[in-house]
Amino acid sequence: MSCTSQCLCPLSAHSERAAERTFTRALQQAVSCVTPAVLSNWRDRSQPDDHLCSLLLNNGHPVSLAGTLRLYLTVTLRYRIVTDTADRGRWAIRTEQYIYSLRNEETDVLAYHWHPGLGQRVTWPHLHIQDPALQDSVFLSSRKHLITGHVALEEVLLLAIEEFDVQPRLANWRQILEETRRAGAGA
Amino acid sequence: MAAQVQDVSLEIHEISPTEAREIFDSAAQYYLKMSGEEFLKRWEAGKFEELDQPDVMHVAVLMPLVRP
Repeated sequence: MSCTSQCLCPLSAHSERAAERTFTRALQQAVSCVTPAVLSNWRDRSQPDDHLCSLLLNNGHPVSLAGTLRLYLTVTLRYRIVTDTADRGRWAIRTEQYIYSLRNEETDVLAYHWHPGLGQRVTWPHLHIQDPALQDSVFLSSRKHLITGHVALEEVLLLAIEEFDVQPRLANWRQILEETRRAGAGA
Repeated sequence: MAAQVQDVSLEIHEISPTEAREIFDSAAQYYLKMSGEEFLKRWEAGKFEELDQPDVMHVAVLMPLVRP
């Protein structure tokens, strides 16, 4: 787990655009370890003072991952471009919401969520687990919000490869995930 | 065999307002079998009984694409 509340990209930049570019390129590099699908970004240009943006993999749809379990990945996150608290002349990125999930063809199996501000009771980073074996469980269901702390996208990708047999596309995937996380993505 | 080199462009596509509406509508159709407009109506009316269900949240986090 990377941090416990809002996660600030540790690598700041001299301009708003440079900070955003570093952040989004690092995340694209990370996801390319498991899929050729691309990230796209939304910023409401009608609100020029609002530095809140969305980043979506494959336009919000799941992407198929190579491997024996036939899993799919979804990635959606919201981030804000902020002035660096340590150096007012520089810019940094703060992650404000995310949804990272590993799915089967029909539903999320593991869903890492953090979505404060959507008017819900649960504001902490959490995990939903959904498995047919849990259907009759009175204790554990997909509606439970299992506390996780902030989870980085790179950690979910690592989990997919190491524990769920997802086949990496790049031989140096481990180095890439370590570098992008250290470089300040870790969203 | 995994490749050694990065084969995906790292440039991020910026979504246009028209694309944003299409993406939101497509996500609502995919996850919840309803239109984006219907999702917004139901969300604003508080009609999602299972608000915490992951598929509802997949669409909810995309709402900024269609409303400030």
